[in-house]
Amino acid sequence: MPLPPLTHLQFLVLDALHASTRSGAEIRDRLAEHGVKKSTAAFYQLMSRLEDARFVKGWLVNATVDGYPVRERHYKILAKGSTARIKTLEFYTTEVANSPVAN
Amino acid sequence: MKRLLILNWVHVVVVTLVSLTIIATAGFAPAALTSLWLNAATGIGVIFLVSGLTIDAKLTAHERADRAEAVQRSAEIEQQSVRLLVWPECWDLLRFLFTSKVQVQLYIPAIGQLKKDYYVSLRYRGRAVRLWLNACFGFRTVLLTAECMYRVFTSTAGKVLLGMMPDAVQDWWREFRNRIDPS
Repeated sequence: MPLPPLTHLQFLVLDALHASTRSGAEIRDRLAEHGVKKSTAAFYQLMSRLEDARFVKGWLVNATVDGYPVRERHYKILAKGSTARIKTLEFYTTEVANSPVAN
Repeated sequence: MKRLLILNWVHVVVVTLVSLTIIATAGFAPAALTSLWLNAATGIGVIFLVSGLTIDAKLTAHERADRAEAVQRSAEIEQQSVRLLVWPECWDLLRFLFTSKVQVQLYIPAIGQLKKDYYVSLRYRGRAVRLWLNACFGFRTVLLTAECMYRVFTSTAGKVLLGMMPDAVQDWWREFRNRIDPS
């Protein structure tokens, strides 16, 4: 079986986006739940690479905080990202099933 | 303000005293004297009534002036106290350091969190607090800008640019990258 197309971080991000569209802050919170500590710039660079690979699509949304305008970036998973996520999931599921430790 | 209040009270006391004197002497004093007292009391009463109304009018005007002075004073205090710098404008200007792609995908979303914190911090006042907030935002701005610059240099365009640099610079950069980001 070929190696999975995603790293563990990319998989976590795509898994977070699998259910619904999310803002960058929400995805960061999800990563933080798994103990991933990434700075803001590093996180958005990760997202930028996923956008370049056409796994996700991002756009800026105007939000307000205490009546003041703030621009947030929201993301949604694309077909290519969804396929990559499924392939990665299949890889690990198969590998775990065939692992001698599991047997 | 204080002086006007005292005058108002003096007015009240004097009018009361004159009225009491008139009442007390009405049955005993000679008619001419009583008449003189009554005329004098009426005159004094009218004078004090007019002066009282004037004082009241002055008091209102004074109160207005006092309020205006208080507003001016608070504006002066506001000017003297440390203001939060216009960080959102600084951040908006700093974005021109980067290419449009980096701006949209990296810098603008990254400063979103800073902006949120900034708008929340606007509610804090006081010299020491604002000095602290300015220091915090300054520190975070430097860190964020430096990190974005680093991300730019680790991108493809950055690598091409680095390829054009002398070997010594390239070696230093590789060592620097290994040190801060071993993965």
